[in-house]
Amino acid sequence: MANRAACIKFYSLIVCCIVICWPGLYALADKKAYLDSLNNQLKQAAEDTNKVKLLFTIAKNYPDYDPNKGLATGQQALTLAEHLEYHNGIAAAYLAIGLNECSLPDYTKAKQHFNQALEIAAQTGNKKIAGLANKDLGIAYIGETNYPQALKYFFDALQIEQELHNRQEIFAVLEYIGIVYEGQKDFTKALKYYKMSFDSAQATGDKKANGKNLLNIGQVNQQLGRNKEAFGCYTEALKTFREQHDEGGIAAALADIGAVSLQLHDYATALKNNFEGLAIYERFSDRQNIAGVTDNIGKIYLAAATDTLGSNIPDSLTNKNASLQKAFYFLNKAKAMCKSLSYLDGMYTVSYDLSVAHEAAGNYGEALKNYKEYIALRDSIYSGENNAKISNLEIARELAIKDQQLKIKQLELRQKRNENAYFIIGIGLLLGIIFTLYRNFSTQKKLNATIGNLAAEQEKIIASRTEALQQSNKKLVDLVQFNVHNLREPITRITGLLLLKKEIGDEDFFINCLPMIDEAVTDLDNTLKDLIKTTEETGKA
Amino acid sequence: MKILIIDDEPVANYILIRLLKLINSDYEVVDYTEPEKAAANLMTIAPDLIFLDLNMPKLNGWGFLDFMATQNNQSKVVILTSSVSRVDQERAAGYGNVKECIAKPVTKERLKACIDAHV
Repeated sequence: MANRAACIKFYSLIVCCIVICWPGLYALADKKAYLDSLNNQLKQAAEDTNKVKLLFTIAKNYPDYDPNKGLATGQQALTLAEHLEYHNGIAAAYLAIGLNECSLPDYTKAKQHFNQALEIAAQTGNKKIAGLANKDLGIAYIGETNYPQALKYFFDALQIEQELHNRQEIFAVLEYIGIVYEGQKDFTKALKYYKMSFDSAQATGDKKANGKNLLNIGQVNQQLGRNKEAFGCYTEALKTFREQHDEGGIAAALADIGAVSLQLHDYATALKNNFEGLAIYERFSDRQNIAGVTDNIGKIYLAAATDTLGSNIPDSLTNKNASLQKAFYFLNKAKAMCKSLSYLDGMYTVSYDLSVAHEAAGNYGEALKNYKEYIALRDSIYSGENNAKISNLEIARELAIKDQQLKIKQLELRQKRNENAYFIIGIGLLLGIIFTLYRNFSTQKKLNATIGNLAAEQEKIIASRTEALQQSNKKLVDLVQFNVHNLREPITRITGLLLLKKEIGDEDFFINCLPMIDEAVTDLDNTLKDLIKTTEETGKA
Repeated sequence: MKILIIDDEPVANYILIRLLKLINSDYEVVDYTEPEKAAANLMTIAPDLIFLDLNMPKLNGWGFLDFMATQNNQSKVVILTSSVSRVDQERAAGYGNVKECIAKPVTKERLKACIDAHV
């Protein structure tokens, strides 16, 4: 039973480690030098818009380093921009102020300032500022764990940045969307967006961003219990950060390797990496992350002290009492730091870890006290979460409506495209019909011309044949007339002489006319013979 | 009255002369079998009536009529031919001095009526 109870505690600790993640382990540890350089430039800057830009750049780099200084610098930028009536500068100053307020954290004020920036961007049509304001509003809502609202702003930001083809901001926004989904425990979507961000950053050659995405992907894998995959991602991220000499990234990767090594029961590796990370954070006085890593180290000692499986426990940790004492040392140190930073999330985690440690040590009173603190903090957070949940549902409904409107717009667009397509097809068909008609008309014209030519040719032939026939007829008529005359001529002589017989006496007739009749009969006979001969020859021809 | 007969066939001329003399022996009749010679002597003869055959060699009846037209000779002409076709009648109408077309053989009565009508 005792073993079983210890086992349950151990796994509870692991689950707690999964559920209660330390936010913001990644930090720009080498930012101090960069800020010093910018502050030096500021000393020589004239009171113009360039100075506003410089102040904005300084202010927006302070949030994870010294938000109060960042806030002051942002206010300075705002005053100068207002004096110069430099609207884009005013909007940028609001953004810088808001970012520092997020780090304090004062999300209410931050959102007010981001909205002011968004308003100016809308008035001036400055899409760049609008994109940044939407992204920063999303960040503020993440801080409030209002994930649906955060998503709304991130998607708006993504759309703007895509319109601007601003690849640097696109992969940043994609990463934030991944963070939101991870916060909502939607690990499939979280992985999808982290990978999209990774691909996008890879395309721009931003290796630091790739390192961050590898850490994010590793964390999702770790939450899904894929510890070996997570370890691979963190190791790859560490390699990338080392190549880039990015100490903030190195520290974050080390802390993550430490955390996953703990889950793999590899306490030596876990301790080694966490101590390395701690050294970097201490060098840059990153107190929030110092508190986080300190708590992690405490957790490792606690796990080693309560581990009943005996797996991979190095010689230095075999003394469970010593390990437990070390656990108390680091956990108390972490709690004190969280308290001084008013870091409630950190307090919540450390209180739970201390409760488990005291229970393991048999200090049930202290265990109960810490557990009560843990419950109080948890209820406070959950109460906030409940309120957020109600508003989240309302926002989710708005998002659904917006999604429907978007679909309607897309359908309208598709319908318009279809109408255009039909119009083009109609024009095409019309042109086709006109072309076919023209072609038919042209063919008909050619056929008519051919028929006309043939008819003309035919008429010519007919005219020619008619003429030939007419000539032939004329010849025939002439021939007939000639023959008739030649035939009738001797006949008229005979009949004339016979008629004369009635007028003259028989004697006169026989003496004078009869020889003439005889001659006429001979002429007639010859004429008939000639006619027969001519007819025969004509027939042969 | 002076009558001119032009026909290449002597028998036709003989028959016509005999008939004319039977009608009136006082008629002065001149006949030619060669129309070109008749044309040459036309002015001298100055006939009151001419009996003209159409179908003749060398100069036919139409040629003789054309010659008369060129000479502006308006002597009255009766065409006397073996066969009178519609074409010949239409063509003859084109000559103002052609009074009639008669087909051979002609009787004495028909000949007398013709002379009475045109002279």
